[in-house]
Amino acid sequence: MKFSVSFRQDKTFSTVLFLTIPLLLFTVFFLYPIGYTLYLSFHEWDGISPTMDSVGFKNYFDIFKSPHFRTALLNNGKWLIFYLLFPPGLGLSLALLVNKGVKGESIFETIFFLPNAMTLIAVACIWRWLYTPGYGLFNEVLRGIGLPGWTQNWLGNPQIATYSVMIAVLWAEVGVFFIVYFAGLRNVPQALIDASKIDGASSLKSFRYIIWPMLAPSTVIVIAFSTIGAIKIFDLIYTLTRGGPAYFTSVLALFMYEVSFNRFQMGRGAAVGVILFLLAALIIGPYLIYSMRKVEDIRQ
Amino acid sequence: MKWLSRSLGFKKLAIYLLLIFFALLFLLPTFIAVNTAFKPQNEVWKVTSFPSRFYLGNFKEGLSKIGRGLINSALIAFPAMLISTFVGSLAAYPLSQFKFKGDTVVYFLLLAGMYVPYQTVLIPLFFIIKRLGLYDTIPGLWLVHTAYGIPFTTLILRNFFATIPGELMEAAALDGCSMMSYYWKILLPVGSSGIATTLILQFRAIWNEFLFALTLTQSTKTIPVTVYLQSFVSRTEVQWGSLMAAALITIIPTIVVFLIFKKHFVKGLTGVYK
Repeated sequence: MKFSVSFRQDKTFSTVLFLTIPLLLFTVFFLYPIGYTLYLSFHEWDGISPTMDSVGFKNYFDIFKSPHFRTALLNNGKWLIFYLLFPPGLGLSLALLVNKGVKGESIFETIFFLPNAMTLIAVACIWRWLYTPGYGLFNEVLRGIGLPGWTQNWLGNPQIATYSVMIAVLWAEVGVFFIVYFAGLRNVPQALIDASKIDGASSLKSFRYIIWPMLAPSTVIVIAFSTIGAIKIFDLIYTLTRGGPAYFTSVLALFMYEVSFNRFQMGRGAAVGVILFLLAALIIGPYLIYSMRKVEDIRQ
Repeated sequence: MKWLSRSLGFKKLAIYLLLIFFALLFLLPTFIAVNTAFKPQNEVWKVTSFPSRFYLGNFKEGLSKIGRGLINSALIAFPAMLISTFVGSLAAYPLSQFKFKGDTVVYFLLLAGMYVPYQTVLIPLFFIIKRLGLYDTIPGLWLVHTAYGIPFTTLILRNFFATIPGELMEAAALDGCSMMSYYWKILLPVGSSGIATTLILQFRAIWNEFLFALTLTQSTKTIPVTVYLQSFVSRTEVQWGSLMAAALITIIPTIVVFLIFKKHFVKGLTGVYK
């Protein structure tokens, strides 16, 4: 595109002008705090006293020795496995079903996405009620169908509490996975599937060799959602169990919050923040590189 | 071929049954919440029965507990969604319309910013907000939601603005239109559907947000509804009827926005990751 000299000068000036506020905010609220957290993680500080002591890697050593930290890290691992398998699996299954040309497609879409519009705090309220040991829905139904021995203290039993929270998360968040896959399926030409059927491919085969490969872009988005979901998980656990019983359902985000804002060990909290950042970078890094390569140049 | 059409019919039926089964399963928790919220105190424990009468006391009580939070949330969410969308549009403009030095760096930073765990910035953020004198204030949350909304709002608007044909800018430039007036007079009006999508998704995100609110507010006149609701459920003695009513009141705004603007939700959630 040919622009006049004055227009090009105007362009440079405007680019700077328009980027100033966003980049300033980004620097103050992203770059500076990340750097400061790293700095703080090598210090001991209660958040109040005017000085902080430099302690080297002590905070990191202390954390790794803490059983709470190790349980939280292990739980984040469980959450990662959960997030990679269940919301995408259920989301894709539902999308495939709705995509079969059913009537009322839009109603199903609304129903599956609805929990996603709610705040996770309300989701937690509802599920705490469903899980109530005495007369919550789950135990009531189990007693009703003659399985009173199966009733549980769903959120109080350390063996199963994390899995109970996972079911609530599945309900709350599967909608977004469904929508991404549903949009992806729209891009698979029906003619291609029909042609494969005529050639004698079973539904399973046409899924495996035609639909699934064509859904790859959706799957990449879904994996990004899943991994970051597993690292960021906080609201539901905080509200449903507060990490309990003891710290059996805790995760790193919750551990960090407790250490920093309940126990005022800012250095240790910062060290957990750094570990979370490194985990995110490690897991999301490949996705970022992939996205940067793929960014089509859409500008002049 | 009759057996084939019959088997196709059977298959369709199975799909419908499965879908209806899942739909009912998905509606069940919300239904139980609604059912419980309309029950008088002494019936709440009978979770599988319907209310004997239409009881509104729970809503009255729920509202008295979280009402102030609803007002605070509205005071936080509406300005914050406008400001954050506006700031996002500022950065999205050059990023979507032309090349400039360092554009890939800016793009990379914003994309990476979407995935930064908030716990990594939380301690410094707490002290920045305190130092600015914005701790426990509503404008403090406008600032925080604007700043942490930047990656999302910029990238989504960039993708929307990028669909505006470049000829438009060429023509505008020939007519002597400045970059500044191009933004106000052409980009914003032509990109209005993208702006609407961004506003809606930001409203949902801010209304539903919990961690920043928990960390940066402490008094009744600033705490948003999510934190009110959370303190309500975390008590040992929970009044389930009024809690369900309070939870339902809390989700009404975002549910209504979703039902009205469903297309925008779908477009936005799939559009940001292009």
